Amino acid sequence: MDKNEKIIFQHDIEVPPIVMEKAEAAFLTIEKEGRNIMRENKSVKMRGIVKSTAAVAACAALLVAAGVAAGDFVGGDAPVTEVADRSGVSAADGSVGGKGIPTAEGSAKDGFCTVEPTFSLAAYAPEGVKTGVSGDGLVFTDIGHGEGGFTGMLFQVQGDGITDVDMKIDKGALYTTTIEETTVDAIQAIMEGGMPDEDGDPNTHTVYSLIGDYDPNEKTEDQEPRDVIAYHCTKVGTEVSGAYEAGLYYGFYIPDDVTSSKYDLAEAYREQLGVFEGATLSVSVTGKDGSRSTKEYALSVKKLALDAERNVTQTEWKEGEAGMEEGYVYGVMATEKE
Amino acid sequence: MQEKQRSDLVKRAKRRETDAFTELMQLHMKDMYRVAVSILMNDEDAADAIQDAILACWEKIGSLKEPRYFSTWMTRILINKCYDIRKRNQRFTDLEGWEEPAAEDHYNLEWKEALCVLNEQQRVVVELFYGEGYRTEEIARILKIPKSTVQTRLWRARQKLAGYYADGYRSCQGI
Repeated sequence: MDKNEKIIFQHDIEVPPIVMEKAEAAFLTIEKEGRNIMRENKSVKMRGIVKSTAAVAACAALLVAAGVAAGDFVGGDAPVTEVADRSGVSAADGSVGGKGIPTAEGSAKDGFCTVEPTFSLAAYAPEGVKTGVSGDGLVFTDIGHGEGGFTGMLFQVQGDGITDVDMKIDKGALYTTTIEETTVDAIQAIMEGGMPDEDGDPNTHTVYSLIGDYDPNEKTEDQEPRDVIAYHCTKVGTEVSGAYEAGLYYGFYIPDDVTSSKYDLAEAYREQLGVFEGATLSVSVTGKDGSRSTKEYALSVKKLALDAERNVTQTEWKEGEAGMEEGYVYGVMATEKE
Repeated sequence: MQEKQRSDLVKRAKRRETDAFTELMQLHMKDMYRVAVSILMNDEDAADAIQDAILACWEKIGSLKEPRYFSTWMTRILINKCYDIRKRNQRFTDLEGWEEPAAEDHYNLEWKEALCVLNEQQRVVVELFYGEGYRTEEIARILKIPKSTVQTRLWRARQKLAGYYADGYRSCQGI
């Protein structure tokens, strides 16, 4: 980031009075709660001591009544009932995810993973991004261009002699994408304009994504020229049919009315992604000779493990130690039905 | 404040020492304000979110396993509270929707106007990276997104800001 741009975000800021007032109110509440707990603890202790004293007196009376000198008495610390420790609450509230955009990372020989001969679905990943096939099926994660309902989970139909493709999904929706490789220089004007969607059509959306590692601390002019991928996306609803195009990609679209009220942003994303849980993706292709072949895929939402660098590994995450270091993001898995 | 002193404060706060907790939160007040405004884009809502976050942190601090993760843990709670408030208010905080500041909302205007250039996903990442100095790995942990996504959002944010400043945001000159 250039000097001026960085400075504006590093400049010291002034916390407004309204923020300080509300913070102070919270501290006061906590302080009162703390005092109440101390008083309660003290009160319990006092009750314990009173009980102990009463017991002593009773014992003494008994002993006297029994004609035994009250020299020995029950003493020592009275049991104190501690206020229940509230520290057992889970830290789940701290989780943040977002319309969390997991990104597939790694390397494949040609950037695709295939499932079946005749025709197959291949999960898309740009060059230099790892992708893979899980033991249970084909895994889709946001490869970096997901925004709004466009999940960024792309796939392609691959096969020989295909003339037409029909695709439908019974839950959620689909979108199509064409991909344009370009450079930073070529779209400089667009970037300086804030990279807006170009045509204003609510059913289309273009996202620009930088290829490769990016060092946020380097000035733009110091960076090596980088390739940019433009994803031109179009919502198509629950069904799409058309002539087969080798360069056409399909993606999972979260319908606009699917929302989540969950506080945890990662869980909110999972809930929205959950529209695809149990969905069936049906793909039919027509060959040159008119023959048709259909495959159905069962979709499920999975937690996908992250590696130490927080990159998606495409393998299902297995629960380990709970806490701050949860290493997963949510993705969709497609398993071909028998 | 040195890391050890901060860690000691966290440990004392975990033991429910209110004065230690209060001091700890006050140390993070500016950072909390930055993050809250980057999401909510107004001081009043940011104040509410911070208040809710302080109370939530107090309630849950016993569950924090490692004192060294306090900042990221607290930031995640704050971000969640910000989204609660936004949901509750049913406001849309996109670029074009930034409201004219209220009469009393005149603090840090230059910074807020720069934030307006970005969308929400970019604002949070930019604030955490440039405003609070988190590494991309730490931001990925806070937001539960891959590091590469953090990098992409930072890159997009820089491009947008480059265009913003290229249009001649004069008051930035000479800072």
